[in-house]
Amino acid sequence: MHDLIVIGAGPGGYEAALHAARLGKSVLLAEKQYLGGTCLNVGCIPTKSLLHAAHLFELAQQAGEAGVVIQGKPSFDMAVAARRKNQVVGQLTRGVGSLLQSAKVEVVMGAARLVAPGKVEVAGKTYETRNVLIATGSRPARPPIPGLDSPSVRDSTGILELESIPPRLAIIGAGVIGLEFASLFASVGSKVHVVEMLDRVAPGADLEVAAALQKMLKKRGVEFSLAAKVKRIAGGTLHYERGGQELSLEADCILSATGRAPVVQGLGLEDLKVDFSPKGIRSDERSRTNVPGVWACGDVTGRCLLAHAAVREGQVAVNNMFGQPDRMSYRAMPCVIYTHPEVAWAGLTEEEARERGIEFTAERKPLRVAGRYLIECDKEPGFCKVIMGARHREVLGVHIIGARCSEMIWGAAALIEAELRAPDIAKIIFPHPTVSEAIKDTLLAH
Amino acid sequence: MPHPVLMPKKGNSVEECVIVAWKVKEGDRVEAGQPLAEIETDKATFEVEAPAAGQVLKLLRAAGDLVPVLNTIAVLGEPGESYIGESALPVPPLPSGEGRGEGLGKGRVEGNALTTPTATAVQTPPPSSQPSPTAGGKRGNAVEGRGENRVGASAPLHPLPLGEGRGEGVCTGTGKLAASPRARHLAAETGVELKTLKGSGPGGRIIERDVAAAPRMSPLARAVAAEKGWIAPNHGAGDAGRVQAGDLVAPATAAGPEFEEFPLSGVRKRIAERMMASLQGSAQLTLSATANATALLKLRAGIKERGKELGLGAISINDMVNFAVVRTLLRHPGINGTLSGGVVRKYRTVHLAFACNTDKGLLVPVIPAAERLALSALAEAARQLAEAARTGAIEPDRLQGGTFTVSNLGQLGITSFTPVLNPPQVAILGVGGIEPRPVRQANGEVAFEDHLHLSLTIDHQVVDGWTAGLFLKDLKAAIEDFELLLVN
Repeated sequence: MHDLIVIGAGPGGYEAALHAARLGKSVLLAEKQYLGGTCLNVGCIPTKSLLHAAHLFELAQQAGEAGVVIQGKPSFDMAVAARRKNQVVGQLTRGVGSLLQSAKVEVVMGAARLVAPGKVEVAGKTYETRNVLIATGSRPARPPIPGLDSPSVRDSTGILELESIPPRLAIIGAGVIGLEFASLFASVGSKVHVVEMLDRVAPGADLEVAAALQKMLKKRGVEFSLAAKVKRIAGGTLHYERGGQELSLEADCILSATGRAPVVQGLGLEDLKVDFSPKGIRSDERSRTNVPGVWACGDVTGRCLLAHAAVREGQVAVNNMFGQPDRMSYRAMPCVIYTHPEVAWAGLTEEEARERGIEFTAERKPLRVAGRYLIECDKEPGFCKVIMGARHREVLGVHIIGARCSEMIWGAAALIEAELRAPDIAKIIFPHPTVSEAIKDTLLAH
Repeated sequence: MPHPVLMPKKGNSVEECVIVAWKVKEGDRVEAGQPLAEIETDKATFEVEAPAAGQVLKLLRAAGDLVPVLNTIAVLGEPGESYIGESALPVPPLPSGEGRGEGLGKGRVEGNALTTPTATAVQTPPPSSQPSPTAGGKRGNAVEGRGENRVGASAPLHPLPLGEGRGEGVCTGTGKLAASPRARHLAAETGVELKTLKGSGPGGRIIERDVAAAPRMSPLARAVAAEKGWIAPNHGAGDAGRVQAGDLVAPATAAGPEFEEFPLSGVRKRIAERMMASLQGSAQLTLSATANATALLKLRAGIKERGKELGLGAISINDMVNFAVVRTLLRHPGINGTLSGGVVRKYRTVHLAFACNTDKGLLVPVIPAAERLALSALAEAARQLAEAARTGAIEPDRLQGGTFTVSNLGQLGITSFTPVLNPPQVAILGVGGIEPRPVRQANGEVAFEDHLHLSLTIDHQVVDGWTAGLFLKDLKAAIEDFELLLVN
């Protein structure tokens, strides 16, 4: 009898397993494909590795301005970048394996299925447990577009395997995934065209920031067709409709980046009467499902498809199942788009604040107010935008576009979660010279 | 030349002292070494002596104030000498090693911030608006290298400026915010605002445990609570139970006045008088029992199903209980009666009173000679009277003359209650809800059966417990064998 069986070894699952094991619980972790899940194997990590390579390539082209002389013209070798990516992935997944081993988590490879209350079957063997944490994650969604199975179409997993740079890349979807690959391939020389159904890019981000990102990507050669509906794909031709017009574009590679769907099938959820739909397993702020002893965290809940959200949800689940009341707070969830330039935010967007009828002020400052930004990134017109309560000047949302913002957004999230007001933040010391000073400057703008 | 009098530093760990009492007043002439004030650390009491002879020009802090060590608490000088001016007073240099070393590793909010409510989650040193040797010394840690420069900086001569919740600095004294040093320490460390607390120490003084018991709040929650007067629950949704703005609750008074007033009049006044008369004028005793309600429920189900086709009106459980009561009372005249003016009346007829809730309050209509009515007629009579009582159309005659009263709260989910006698009657029956109870069956197994709660209040002046018990026993039987009752 285990204290906990975790299904899925992505960040939500393996972190929860480690956490429970460190509390002295007997934990079994079932994984059907690979340790580290989507994030480590075919998501965050490999993408960031390639994005870093692409960014270095861009910097190399600009190095002359800083006085770095490079003989000849820099070029980009996709195969080498892919090798480096695979090394990183290998190192990290091995790291997860040894962490689990040293924490004495029993890892079983194979698809898991809930066969009865407290009973989980993995690879033909049934295990008993007091708790089950479902952390099966998500997979790329497959929209009903005729011709999507054409060989030129890849999803976010498949495109990571490209060994060469497609001269023309079409991307369906201007969400986080679509934009990151747009940025990546634009940097290394692809002609990128993004087709998006909505009339904006980066849904979820502050509209003003999203518009700025679109503008900056456009400047780097990315073409956008917004409010456009993809009708069908024929070979390398993408047919779409915009404003009543039938249009098409040719591409050597088509990336389908229309979001991700929770993995809820084949788990035996129906038999145990777990409340779920194709949009995910319903869970509450304590990561409980409707069935006692069955918990869920991460993408499979369909609530917040971010690795770090999954990690915290898993931690909340473990704390609650072992008698330490804990609950999830989503109000300052840090979000990052690893494009070049980066976008990061936490808390309310201006639109959300308005929708909720909150009296607020929005302050903006160019990141150039921070000396370090001017030194390192003077080409990017990045800025910081802060949404503050009108009455108490508490921080409600922080939105940044520009280099290094991903590394400091956690601080902004902490300010929001701690309900600090501008006068409180004025007393916090920000290191100088750093880009983070721009946050403080924006907050104390008036 | 004016002489500042500093709060002495009594030991390495002492960071502030309370001025217990001044022994001098402004204008007094003092000799060097003369005791000026009595001060108190966490552990002991000391005296502050005059550093030089002169006149007491100004007492800067009041008795009761908590003052960081080495802050100026008074100024001595020559009569008429100005102590307020741009040129700062000379301040004795700090004892060697004080400047930097003292504050190192302490990790505490410095003295001046101790009573400032906003120095909270973020325990950063306050801005340099309050230069003092103490501050300089303590900050040596945070602004390394700069600390030394501050040693020897001028001591503030005025009470610190107010503003941003910070300058409040040391408490205003005058007993307005009496708090123990330990309470202030803890408040500063945990960000609790002392003025939101009620002291449980002597004379309402805030002591450590008051601070410890206070809810932890986010700065925004604190600001909102202070602004709107909202109340923080003991535990909030934030980390480790920290109270966040969304956890605050408006006090009941926020929506309007706390209460409304109505003069006691009309029906309410009559009820009040009768209730008091009842409780003061009789010896009330309540007995309770339960009756198996299976038969009642079965009959009601039958009536619901076929009542219309049989031409029956609605008959409730309550009507059936009334019917059983009436039949049983005929065999217990001692329960069915009144006590008035030293005379007991035992009735051979049942004028059945029943409690009826109306907008104006409790009314008790009476069904006269209820034993003459069949179940359906009794139900109809009760329905009509209740309707009349609710609409206010009931004739006053119909509200008196009862010989026994039934009060039913079962439909509200009340299991049982103690009914109050309706004088001059000598008994009243309270009918509670129906609940399943485990009953051992003939075959030894336990099954759940529905039971009705009954409670009978009697006037023990004239009815004995045994008599009442016999009535309840018969009533229970009548209810349980309700169909037999109908046959009779």
